[in-house]
Amino acid sequence: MKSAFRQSMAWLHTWVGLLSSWVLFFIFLTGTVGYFDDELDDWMTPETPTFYATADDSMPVLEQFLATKGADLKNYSVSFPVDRTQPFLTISYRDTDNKRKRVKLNPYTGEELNPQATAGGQTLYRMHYRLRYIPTKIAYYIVGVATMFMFLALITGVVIHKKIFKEFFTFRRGKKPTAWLDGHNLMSVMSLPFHFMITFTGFLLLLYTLMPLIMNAHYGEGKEGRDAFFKEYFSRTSLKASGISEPSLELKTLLKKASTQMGGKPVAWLSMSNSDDQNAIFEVGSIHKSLSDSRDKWVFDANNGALLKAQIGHESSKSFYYILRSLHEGLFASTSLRWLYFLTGLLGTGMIASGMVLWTVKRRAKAIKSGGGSFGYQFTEGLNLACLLGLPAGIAMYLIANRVLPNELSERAFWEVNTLFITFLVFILFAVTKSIMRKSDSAWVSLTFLTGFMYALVPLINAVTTEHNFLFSVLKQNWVFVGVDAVCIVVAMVCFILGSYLHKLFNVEIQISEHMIRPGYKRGHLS
Amino acid sequence: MIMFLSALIMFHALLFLLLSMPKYNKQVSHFPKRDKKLESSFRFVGNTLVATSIALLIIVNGFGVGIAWTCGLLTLLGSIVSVMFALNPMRTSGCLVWLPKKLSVEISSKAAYLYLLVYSILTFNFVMLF
Repeated sequence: MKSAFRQSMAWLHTWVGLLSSWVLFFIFLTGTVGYFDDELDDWMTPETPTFYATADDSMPVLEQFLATKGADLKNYSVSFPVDRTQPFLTISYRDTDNKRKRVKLNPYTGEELNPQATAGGQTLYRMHYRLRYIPTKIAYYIVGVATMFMFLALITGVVIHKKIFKEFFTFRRGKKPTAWLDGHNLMSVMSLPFHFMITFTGFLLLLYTLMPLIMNAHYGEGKEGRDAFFKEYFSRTSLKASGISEPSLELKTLLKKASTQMGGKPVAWLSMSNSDDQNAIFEVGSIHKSLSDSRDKWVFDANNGALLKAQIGHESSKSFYYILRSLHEGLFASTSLRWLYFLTGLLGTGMIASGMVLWTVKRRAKAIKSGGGSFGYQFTEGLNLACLLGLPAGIAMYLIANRVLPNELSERAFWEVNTLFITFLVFILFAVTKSIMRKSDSAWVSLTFLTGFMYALVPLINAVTTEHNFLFSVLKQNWVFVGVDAVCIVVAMVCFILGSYLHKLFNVEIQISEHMIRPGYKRGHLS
Repeated sequence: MIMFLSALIMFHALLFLLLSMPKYNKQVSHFPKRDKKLESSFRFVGNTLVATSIALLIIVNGFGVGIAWTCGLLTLLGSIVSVMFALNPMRTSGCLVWLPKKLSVEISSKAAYLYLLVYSILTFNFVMLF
C-alpha cells in the first residue's frame, strides 16, 4: 500500500515536474538574476555614474530645481540616492500640460542625467512573473499555475524521498544517473526551506489575480472595484486640491519636522501634493532595512507641519502580507544576504535543471538501445536542452546587445529584450531539430560551448565598448562592474568545463553503443 | 564578526550531524565505528550548535531577516559540506577533528562537548561585546 502510494507520488513528481519545468526554469533563472536588478541597471547604463547623497546633501539642488519650475509645480515626488534601488536624485512631477515627467539629477551639481535607453535589470526581473509578449493577466495565470505545480512537485518530492535525513549529505559523483539524482536531491533538500518560502510567497503575490472573488464581492467587479480595494487596502493618500490658496511651509522646515518624527531614520523619499493649497499634504518615507518596514510613511499637513498620520507597521493581515512579500523580493537584504539569495536561487534553478536532465538520463540507455528513442523522447530532450542552455545564452546576448546596439536605435530597450528571445528561439529550433535527427549529443556539446563563448564575450565587449574593463573596475572599486564581469567569466568557465566533460562522455557512450550492436557481442566483454 | 561566528558554528554543526550517521562516518578510517554513545553525542551537539547559530542570527538581525540568513547559510554550507565530503571524506572530517587532536583529546563524545563548550564561551562573549 505504502509502496503504491509512493510510486504514484513519484509518477506525479516526474510528470508535474517535467510539464512545468520549462516555465519554472524561466521563472527561477530570471527571478534569481533579478535579485541584482538595480546593479544590472547600473551596469547597463555605464555612462551614468551612481551617487550616494542624503536628503540634506541633495537639498540645494532640489531647491534650485523647484525654484526654476516656479509656483506652477503643485504636485511632485522626490527620491534621494540613499539606497541601491535609487542611484540618482529623481524628481517626478506633472508639467503644465499635466503630463508625467521624471528627471534624474546629479545630487551635488544638479546636472541632468540622461542614461541610454535600456531595458535594464528591471525588465529581466519583471519577466519572472510577467513573462513577455503576452498580456499581463494571462502571464499571471501561467505563472500561478506553474507555482502551484512547483508546490506539488516539492510536496511529492519530500514524500518520495524515503531517507530525507539519512541521505541529507549524500552525493555520489561519477555514478550516473545516481549522480544526477543525488545532485537533484542535494539541491532540493538543502534549500528546501527556501524553496517552500519562495513558492508560497510567490503564490501570495499573485493572490489578487488568482483569488479575486472576495475582493470582487465587497468592492465590485472590474477595474473600479479593484482600484477602490487597492486604494483602501494600501492606504493611498489622495486629497483633491480645494482651490483655496494657503501658503505651504518651506521644504527644509517640513523635512526637519519629519526627521524628528522619523527618529533618525534617513529620508529616502518625499512627496508633496497640492502645494500652496488648503489641502496641501507632505509625505515622507525611509529606506527598507527590515522585513516589516516596507511601507512605513509619515503624512503631514504641509501648511502647518502637523503630523496627520504615522503609518508604522500594519495590522496583522497586512503585516503578514508585507513580511512574506519582502521575504520573496529580498528588498531588505544587505549585499551579503543578497548574494545568499542569489546562490540559493541558483540552486533552485539547478534543482529544476537537474530534474530535467534526470528525466532524459533515465530514459537515455533505453533510447540508445532502440536506436534513438521515440519522437516524444527526442522532442522533450530537445526542448530540455534548448531551455537549459537557450535562456542563459539569451541573457548573455541581452547583456551583449546592451553594449553593441547603437544609441540612436529607436526602441533600443525593446530590441535588447528581443535579442534575448531571438537567441532563445534559435537555440530551441537548433536543439529540437538536432534531437529529432538523433544528434542530440552533438547539440549538447556545441550549444554548451556556444553558451560559454557568449558569456566569455560579455567582459570582452564591455572592455572594448566602455571604460569599465575588469582591471579598471577593480582599481576603481566599482564592484557592480567587477561582479558582472566575474560572474560572466565563471559561467563561461563552467560551460567550457561542462562542454568538454560532455564531449568525453558522449564519445564513450558512442563507443559502448557501437560495441553493443556489434554482432557476436557478449555482455561483459567490452574491449 | 558575529555573522562569521554563526556561519562557523553552523558549518561545524553540519559536520557533527554528518559524522553522527554511520552511513558517512564509516567512510572515515580513523573514526571509531559502531559507537552509539559517540553518535548520539555528535547528534546532540550538532543539533544544539544549529540551534545556537540560528538563535545568534535571529538576535543579530531580527526574526525575519534572521530566518532569511538561516535559509541561505544552511543551503550554502550544507551544499559545501556534502560536496567536500564526496570529494574527500578524510579532509572534510579533519575540519572537525583537528581541534581535539591538537588538544590531544581522542575522537570521543568528549571532543564533541569540547566544541560545545568553546562555542558557548565564544557566543556568550560576542553577544556581550557587540
